[in-house]
Amino acid sequence: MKHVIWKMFVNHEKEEAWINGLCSKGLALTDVSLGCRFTFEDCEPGAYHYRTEFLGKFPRNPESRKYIQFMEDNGVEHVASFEMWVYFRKKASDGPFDIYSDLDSRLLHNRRIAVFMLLGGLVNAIFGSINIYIGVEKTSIFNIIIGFIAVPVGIGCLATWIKVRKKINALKREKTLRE
Amino acid sequence: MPEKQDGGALTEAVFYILLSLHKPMHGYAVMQNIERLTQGRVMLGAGTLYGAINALVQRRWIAALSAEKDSRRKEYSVTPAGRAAFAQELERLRELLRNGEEGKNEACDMEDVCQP
Repeated sequence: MKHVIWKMFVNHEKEEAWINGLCSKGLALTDVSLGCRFTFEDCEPGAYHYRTEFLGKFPRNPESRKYIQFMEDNGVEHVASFEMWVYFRKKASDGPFDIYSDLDSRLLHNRRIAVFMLLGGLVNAIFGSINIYIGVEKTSIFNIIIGFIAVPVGIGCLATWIKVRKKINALKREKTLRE
Repeated sequence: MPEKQDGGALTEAVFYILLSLHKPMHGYAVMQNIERLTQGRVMLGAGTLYGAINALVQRRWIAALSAEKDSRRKEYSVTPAGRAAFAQELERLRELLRNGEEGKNEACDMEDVCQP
């Protein structure tokens, strides 16, 4: 049976944990659209391990296509893409599933995410504030609503950015000791 | 960048990829080979493998086999430069092992600092 859940995340790790949590309860993610519309189907509880990845490029980009093809050739199932984010899964019976297995590649991935969260955070916060300002000046409910959506999204992205920066620093410290 | 070109340690992923590709194989086979060689200790993530293969191709230490260019599962093989880099790394590792196992510490011969 198909289940649709609308939910919005500004923290990719929480999103991944949520998807895996639902899978362990018997709901397997099959599609993501609009960034907040998640489609699930019934599955054996815990049948898959899910991983989300930030490509830094759109899925149509030849580089991204090459990468997704490589993943599929390596036994990783490409479940969905939304903008520059991709959702992968592997059968839990295949053992643990990590896309990145060393500090260098984890660092690189987190750096890509940090740039995205910082830019996304600033753009949303500024765009939202301008809308609230316009909304108040011209008593436009529409602008006020847009503003009150965009500002929290922006703040959320900036909070995630700070968390990712902390993670990057921890990885860097670790890298002075081992690879 | 030129300063780091020689002498630095290879990453574990790069070491095992070069070792594996002394025999031509595709990415998935490399992953399985490494897992088998290390008895499951090193499980290369597909994303990490992808990055390492691209970097190695750029560095011309490995090359895609031309006959397989259009195939979905590209096979790669180590180049002479890659072989040389691998041999140099083995030499470095031998020295590391020798020194580590002998517990060599010249400071101990000269002073009493290492006495228990």
